[in-house]
Amino acid sequence: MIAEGEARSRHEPAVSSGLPTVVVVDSSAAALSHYQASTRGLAVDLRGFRSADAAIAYLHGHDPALVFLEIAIPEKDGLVLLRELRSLPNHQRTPVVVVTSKDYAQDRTIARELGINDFLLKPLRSREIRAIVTRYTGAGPSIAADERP
Amino acid sequence: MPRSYLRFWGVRGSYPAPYGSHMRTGGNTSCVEVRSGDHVLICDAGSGIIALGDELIREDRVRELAVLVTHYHWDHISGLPFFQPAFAPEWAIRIFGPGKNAREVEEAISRQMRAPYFPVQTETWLAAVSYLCPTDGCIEHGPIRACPFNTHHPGTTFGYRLEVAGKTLVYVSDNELLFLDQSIDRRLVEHDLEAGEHELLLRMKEEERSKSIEPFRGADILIHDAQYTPADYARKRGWGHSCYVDTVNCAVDAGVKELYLYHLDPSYADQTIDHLQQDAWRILRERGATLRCHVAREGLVIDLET
Repeated sequence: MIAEGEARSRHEPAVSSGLPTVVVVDSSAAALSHYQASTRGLAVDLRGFRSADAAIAYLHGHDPALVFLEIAIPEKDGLVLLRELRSLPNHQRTPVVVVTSKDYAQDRTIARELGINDFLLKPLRSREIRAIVTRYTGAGPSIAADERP
Repeated sequence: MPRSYLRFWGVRGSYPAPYGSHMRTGGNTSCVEVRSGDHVLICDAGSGIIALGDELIREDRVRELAVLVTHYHWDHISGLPFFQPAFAPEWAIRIFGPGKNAREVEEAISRQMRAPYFPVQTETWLAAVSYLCPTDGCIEHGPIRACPFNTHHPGTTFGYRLEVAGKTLVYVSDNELLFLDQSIDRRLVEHDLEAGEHELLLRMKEEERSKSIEPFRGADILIHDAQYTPADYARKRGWGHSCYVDTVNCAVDAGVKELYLYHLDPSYADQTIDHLQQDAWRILRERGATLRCHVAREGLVIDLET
């Protein structure tokens, strides 16, 4: 199981990585593992959060290149998180891709009004996750530390 | 009447169905009264709350009410403009529902009582009405405690887990069970899954199923969305409601003791509802389950002290 904020696609600590950060908010541990497995080999710092509160606490002080957001979260709804996120000065334009099990027009409308970049249905395939990450971060394959010049 | 009980005042979803062919089940939309002594908590304010309000006025005993709204679709709030206690002085009504703050809850409730939709506004209510957003915690109303959780339904929709008279009662009016489960099944048959992807999808499916039933695990009484037959669900998947087959199976898996099939489709006459109940019992027999399954019917009273 991946602890909150500790899902990473590289071995190095994120604070010193200098890599673009991708945040995933999803209460499912399996879903977070899926993101992690899918982006392994990409030069990004992947951070997973299983609760909206933990994610918003992190986002207060960080500017990720991309946020994957599941809006169906048991405790605090992802749409509530999205509204809170957009109210933060540093996150009015942060790219947010909703990846959710909720396929309802009302949710799409609310999410679009809150300035999301895309609304996709779960589960994504690994190649789809990689394509989105690459699109928003420009990340290419990572180079392991011992292979660096 | 027992000291603690729950009573169904409206069991239909979507819209009222006041047809002769529906009367054994009832035609009003969502409303359940939960009472413990002189404390009355009301789950949802569909058209069923109108008769409950009339009864409370006649009874002339209780003066403080808590109303838990799951969300603001019409079938859950349309009775409030005709809820007599709201128009009576010396009554205090606390209304809870999804929202960022109390003002958002008030706005969502009062919007339906504005011109051109309704002749009088909530400002004409004489009761002391207050609005609260329970997203940050649980609600206490006398000896009744209610904790909200999110359900699988358009927008932000709550279910409530209540503790009353030593029993756990879970109210889930609108919830589409196992939606992701089916989406994962469709992915699993794709031929070009990458190494490890199949296992991850299976894990996701197992976890999703477990998460779906978590809010009502071990409940003494579960009142749950069972709107569609399998044939109708096949056409209405993604509308935010459950097929009764999924409701029954999930209740068994969650170790629920007693299930009430609720938020019934307004197009189903009593005969269809009878068939639905028979089929639910067949499922239980085939699974060897001890769960007691009933159809929620308007006027039905459940003693919470036995």
